[in-house]
Amino acid sequence: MIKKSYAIARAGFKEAVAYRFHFYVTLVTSPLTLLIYYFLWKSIFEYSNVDIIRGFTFEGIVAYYALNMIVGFFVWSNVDEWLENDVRYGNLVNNLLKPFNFIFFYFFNLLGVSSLSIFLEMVPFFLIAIFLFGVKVAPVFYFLMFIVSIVLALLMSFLISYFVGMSAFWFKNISGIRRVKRVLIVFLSGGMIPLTFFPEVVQGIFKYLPFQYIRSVPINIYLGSYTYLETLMLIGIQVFWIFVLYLIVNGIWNRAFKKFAGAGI
Amino acid sequence: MNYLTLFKKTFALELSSEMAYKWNFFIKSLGLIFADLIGPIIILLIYTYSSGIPGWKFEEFILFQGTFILVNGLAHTLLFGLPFQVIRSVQQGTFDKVLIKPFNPLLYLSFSSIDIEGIAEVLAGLGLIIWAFVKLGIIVFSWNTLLFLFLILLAFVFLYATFVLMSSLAFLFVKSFGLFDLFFKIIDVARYPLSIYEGGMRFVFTFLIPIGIISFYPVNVLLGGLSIMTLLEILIPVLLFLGFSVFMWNRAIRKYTSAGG
Amino acid sequence: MPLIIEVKNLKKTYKTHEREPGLINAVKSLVKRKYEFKEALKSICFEVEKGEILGLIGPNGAGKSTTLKALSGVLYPDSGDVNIMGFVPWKDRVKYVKNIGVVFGQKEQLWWDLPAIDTFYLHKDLYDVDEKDFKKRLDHMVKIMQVEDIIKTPVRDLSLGERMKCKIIAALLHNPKLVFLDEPSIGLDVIAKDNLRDFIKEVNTKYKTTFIVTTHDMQDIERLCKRIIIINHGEIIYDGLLKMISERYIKSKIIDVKFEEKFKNFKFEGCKILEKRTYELKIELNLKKQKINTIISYLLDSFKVADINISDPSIEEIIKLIYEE
Repeated sequence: MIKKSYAIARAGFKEAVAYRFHFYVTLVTSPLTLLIYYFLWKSIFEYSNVDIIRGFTFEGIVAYYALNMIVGFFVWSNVDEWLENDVRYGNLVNNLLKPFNFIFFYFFNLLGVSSLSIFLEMVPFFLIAIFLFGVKVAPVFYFLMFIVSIVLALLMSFLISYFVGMSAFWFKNISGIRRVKRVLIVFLSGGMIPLTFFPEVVQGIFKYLPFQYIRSVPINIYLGSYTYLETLMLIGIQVFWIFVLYLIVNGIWNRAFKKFAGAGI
Repeated sequence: MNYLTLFKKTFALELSSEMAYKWNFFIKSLGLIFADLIGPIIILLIYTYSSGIPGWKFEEFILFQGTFILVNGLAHTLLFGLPFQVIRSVQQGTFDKVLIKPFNPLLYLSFSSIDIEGIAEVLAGLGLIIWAFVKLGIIVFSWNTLLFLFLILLAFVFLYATFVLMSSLAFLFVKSFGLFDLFFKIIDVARYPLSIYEGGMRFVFTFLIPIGIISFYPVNVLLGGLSIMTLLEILIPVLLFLGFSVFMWNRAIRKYTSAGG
Repeated sequence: MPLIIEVKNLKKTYKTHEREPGLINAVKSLVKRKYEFKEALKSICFEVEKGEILGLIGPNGAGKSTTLKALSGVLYPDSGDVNIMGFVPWKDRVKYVKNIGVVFGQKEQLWWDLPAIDTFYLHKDLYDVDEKDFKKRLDHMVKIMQVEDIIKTPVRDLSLGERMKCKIIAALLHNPKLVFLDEPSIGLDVIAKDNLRDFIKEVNTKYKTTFIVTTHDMQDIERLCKRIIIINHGEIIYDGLLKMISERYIKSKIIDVKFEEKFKNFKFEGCKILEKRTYELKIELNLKKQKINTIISYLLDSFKVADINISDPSIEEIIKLIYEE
């Protein structure tokens, strides 16, 4: 099982390597993106003439956006698009014919792609963030928990992507659904603005949704926003969400397979 | 068939193929408008918990965002398809299909590159602009508004010239999709007023890559007026840039055809 | 020989909707849709013995793909029983598919941006193939298919025929007991087709691998299959030896003649004119009434013939004949 998973991830990694030019471009443009946020918030902080806005100092919010991009590189999942394409071009059958759990197959494929992003995007940009933008290196505990957390976040991101991708069975063309999902998830997970900027009521609702565990929680773990105990608890909640999402996805998948095997095969 | 008919036919074709997937069409339409409203929501949050962007009241900043979204939306609807089509057909070796047609290749591609999705952005942008007009009490039938619209048109021309130039480069570099990504990241700089940038960044994006054309200048004109001198200072470089990019395009085409495609 | 496949009362119906072209109709279809039910399989039954090479033929839309998909475990039928090697294909999918290989002539099956060899190694791991067996079989197949030079090239840079050969290798690397070939000779040149057919026969003889071949290429059928099943409109209309079809149903030949000059009236006993043009003639020759060499001699003697082509009636014609029985 491990050998097979590794083989699939390796194939996904190699395929991503064939598209490495895309990663290079991202790497070159990401400092620019961070610069935009840097200047934006600098002007806001200066104009407001305070040190802390919604719990963040200026340095803190720059660090937030830097880590947001790093987490984003890793948890980015195109699985919904893969499923849509497989349905459109009748390629689902090829993966169904492999002696491997269908859902896991897509996951390990994604893992391979994300692994490449570690080398070509995350690590280089992390260095840029530290040396050019003054982001601090986290203490050991938080750093390690950060890594655990983003791996779990990847699993969550994958399951949500897969869930959305299954709609291709019913709707065939799901470019609109994918677009909404992309924007919604980035927005609700704190990818556009830290979640503390939402009214308290809204933040309360977010606690019961899985989205904040994809970006906001890992980022804040790194930033040391939580105590040791809180950090471990949040990671536990991530695990919980992975189980719940998996049960939902697997349940729907089995039904979809029975009913709609005419599509995409 | 003339170019206007080509445009209309392309539009009808694109629209009906989007509608072929009915649920997707509905969801996408709502989703696109919703996606463009997230920006304003974030601005609202920022203005709720801080003093906001220096020199810009909330309504003024919404006007700014709306303008950016409108110009972006127009480019999305009418222009994005152009370099995309060129890059893809050059990569797949099918560009000759364009050359065979009884049209000027540039004009043909320009009039048949419609992306329906962009219309939602245009609507969202217009919505925000109108809202801001009302809130700020701006007089619609004024000289400033006219100049505002004119500068939006110039912004559009500027983006058109940029895309033509990008497409020309597609003939030289096979991996031009990267340029596309790069372009979008750079455009993002224009999402916020030029005044927030400092030092080298300010310099680069005012003089080297004048993205202020997209939203900064039009909105400033609307709010503060514009002298004829400044207008010419924007108009002339944009027209020169357009001329330059068409020139590059023609050269690229000549090279492509003489090399046997 | 023991049975490897048992199919009883397999049924499957699809639901589709129609759409007229044009913008007005596109808008209309947003509101109201007309749905249609298509019975792809109307309750078919058949059996396959281990080591057989079975041909599954029929016109497009007859139900061949649906049958194939059901048997390979990727399709849930509406009802019916299928027993393959003790498995119910769609129920025990992951375990079942380890024992089968599938080649689709018209689908991409290899990883697109990677060289074929990467797909081969991935399959080795996925199917738990022994290292030594893998190397031996890989080298052997690569040699036979003559693809030594191309297996390290990204698949997207290969021609259709080259991809086809690599697909076949990928499907057979794990020595499956049952192999489905869906239009395997599409895109192959004559030599490659021959090699492929010889290779299939070799694998069949050596390993007793069962093959089910779906094809429109009658030569594939003639060279490979002893038994064929003809399926049309979701029903099996013939299940038996190929020999019988030839003897019973191919009672005619189609002759296409091209003349160098305008020919005048043509009339010959036992010949029905199917198409007539200024310089061309398409004749259906009733083999019961006339022998081929008789008509050919007549044509060559009486006219200035530029070209002659003799072919068997098409599948559709044969099916028509079977219906008329």
